[in-house]
Amino acid sequence: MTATVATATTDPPAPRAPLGARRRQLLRRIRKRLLHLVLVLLAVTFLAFVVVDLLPGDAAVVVAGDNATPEQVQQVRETLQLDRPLLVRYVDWLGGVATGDLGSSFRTGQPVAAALAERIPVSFEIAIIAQILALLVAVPLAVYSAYRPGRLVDRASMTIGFGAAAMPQFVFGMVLIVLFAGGVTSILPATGFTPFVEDPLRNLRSIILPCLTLMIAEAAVYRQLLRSDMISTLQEDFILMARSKGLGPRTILLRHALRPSSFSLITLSGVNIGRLLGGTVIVETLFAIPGLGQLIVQAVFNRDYMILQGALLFVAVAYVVINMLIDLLYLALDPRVRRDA
Amino acid sequence: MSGELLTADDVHVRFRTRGGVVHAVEGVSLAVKAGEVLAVVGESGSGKTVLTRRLMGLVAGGRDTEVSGTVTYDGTRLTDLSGKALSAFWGAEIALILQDPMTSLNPVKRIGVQLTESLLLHKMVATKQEARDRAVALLRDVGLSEPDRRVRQYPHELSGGMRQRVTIAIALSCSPRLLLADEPTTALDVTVQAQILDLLADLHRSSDMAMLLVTHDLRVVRSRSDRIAVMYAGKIVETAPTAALFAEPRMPYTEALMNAVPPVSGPNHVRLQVIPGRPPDLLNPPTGCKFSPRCPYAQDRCLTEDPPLRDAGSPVHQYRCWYPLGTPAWAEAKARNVERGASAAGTPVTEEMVLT
Ligand SMILES: Nc1ncnc2c1ncn2[C@@H]1O[C@H](COP(=O)(O)OP(=O)(O)O)[C@@H](O)[C@H]1O
Ligand SMILES: [Mg+2]
Repeated sequence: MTATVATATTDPPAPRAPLGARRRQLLRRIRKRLLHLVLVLLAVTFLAFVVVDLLPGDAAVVVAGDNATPEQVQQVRETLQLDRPLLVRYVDWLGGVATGDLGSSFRTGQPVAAALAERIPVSFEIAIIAQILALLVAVPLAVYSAYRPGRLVDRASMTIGFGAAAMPQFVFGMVLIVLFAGGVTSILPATGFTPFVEDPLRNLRSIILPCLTLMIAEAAVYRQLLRSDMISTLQEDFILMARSKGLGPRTILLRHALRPSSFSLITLSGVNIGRLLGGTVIVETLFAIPGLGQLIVQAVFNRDYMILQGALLFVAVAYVVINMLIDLLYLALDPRVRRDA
Repeated sequence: MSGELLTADDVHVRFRTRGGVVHAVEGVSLAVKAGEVLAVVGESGSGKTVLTRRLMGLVAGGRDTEVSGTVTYDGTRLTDLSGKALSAFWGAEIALILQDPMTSLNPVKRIGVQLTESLLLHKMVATKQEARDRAVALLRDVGLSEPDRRVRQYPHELSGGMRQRVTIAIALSCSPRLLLADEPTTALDVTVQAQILDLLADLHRSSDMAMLLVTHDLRVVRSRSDRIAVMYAGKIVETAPTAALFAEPRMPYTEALMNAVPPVSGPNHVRLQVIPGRPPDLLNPPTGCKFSPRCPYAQDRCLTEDPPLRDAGSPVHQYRCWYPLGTPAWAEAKARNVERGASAAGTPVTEEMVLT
């Protein structure tokens, strides 16, 4: 087109955002999130304190052992300072946290920080890899299913997905063990965990089955969610406009439709990572994986509230941090959020 | 068939829905000559959008969509082509502008990217840098201020009128020979409407592009089209050169459309007439002439027999009506309906309503 038309626009020019406004906005959001985090942490840890206190028995009973006399138990209780009122103990613990001291396990005497440092990388690795696997499986299936809804890929992936999602996690895990770790087809270890720093290859082999167990139901839900968001995006005028430019289906699906369809998927995925970071008791138990989930369950059984509080602190912080990251991701993905934020 | 860029022959589109079959386009034949502006006018629901998209091939036959008839573009039978082959024409040869600029741009892509992707796809430019420069030039051509800033903006940062300028720039970026503009101003403020229509007229004048301008408002196309096709219930009910149509409308529906809008020139206090009745139910279209239930001149024949397309003196002016305006048969029909106070379909008719 070579024509130059000198019709002046009478529309008001869009307001120009002053430089630095975005950074200020970002800082404001992060500040708000941090305040939020502090409130969540106080609520969660206090609630956990109260609940553990309300359970019958305390750490002293566990530490003193089955054959201990009531006097011995009482003595242990005094050594562990468990005889002080709940609020005093809580404030004491909070004070410790504020100075960076998470305390030590009542039962083993191991510093809480050390116990967490052992468990967190395990849960972190499994959570992230399971999540990546779920997205890797779900996104292509969802995109193609939305492109050809009701056709073979859509119907097959929906049926398999619903089946897998409906199956209890431990059943699915056991099926995987039978398939890949039992008898002639034994190509993967059934249980156990090798840290990555010790032997990366064995580490990967040891987490394949747990990650598969964790990801399957999530992949099914993700596929369903993204598929339906994608189908409604594909009805939009801007997709018709993109088609009318002559763009092919690949470009339209991946470059035009995927990003505006992915917001609820990202939210859900963030929630799930946060949840998985807190450990996955069933999978950790089934595959004998020393993750956070097991640590938390043992701490509850042992009334070992130092460990429990430390773990909960981590889970809550991780949850809020992940949601903060998701928030920032939105900012990057959807220009409209940048303005109304 | 020299000079004819796009011809449609007996185009049908039917949608199978839960409520039944929607007869959206029922045997439309039309031709757009190179460089001309053909206006397609009709009330909302008359099938203009479906027709436009079918002409381009954006609506194709499928599980719930039944299509027939042929569309030929510059010697190529578009209706025989696969989706992939069709898309080579889209954007490069035939471009589309949609009604609502608020929804027709991708909200998460920069204006510049939405412009350059067409340019790069159709090899209008060799490099990305060239594409960026061209995008800025295109935005300047459609009258956007500060074009080099606009390319970095997102659609939500622009007003409706500015966005429609952007979609026009996108549509024209590869110098198409045919532009299909589907109610390009309906969603805009009245003041902006005129600006956009003038912009389209200017751009059309300075290129050899033909344009199919769809609207529900006859007023809009009176000075901006070479020919007009009036559409009703999926059919073209009258087609003529613009001047002839306004001078001598034959089809009562055309007359009703004219009366439904204030005249462009002349006294402003003329009473507006609303076309009585509702647009036809395309699930169960009436038998006979589709307009007969609302037509003040309808006779018994109109209710049973669908009038064919007939020439009004010359083949460039055609209409579908048993009692065309201005003929003795029409005068008789009109007198009869006024006398009995109702049309053959039972629609009340008063002297005032048929005062043409
Ligand atoms: N995909 C579809 N499925 C079913 N009916 C449709 C579809 N698209 C359009 N229609 C129907 O076709 C008729 C004509 O619509 P349209 O072409 O949009 O009219 P116009 O553009 O003249 O207002 C309407 O009754 C509409 O409801
Ligand atoms: Mg329409």
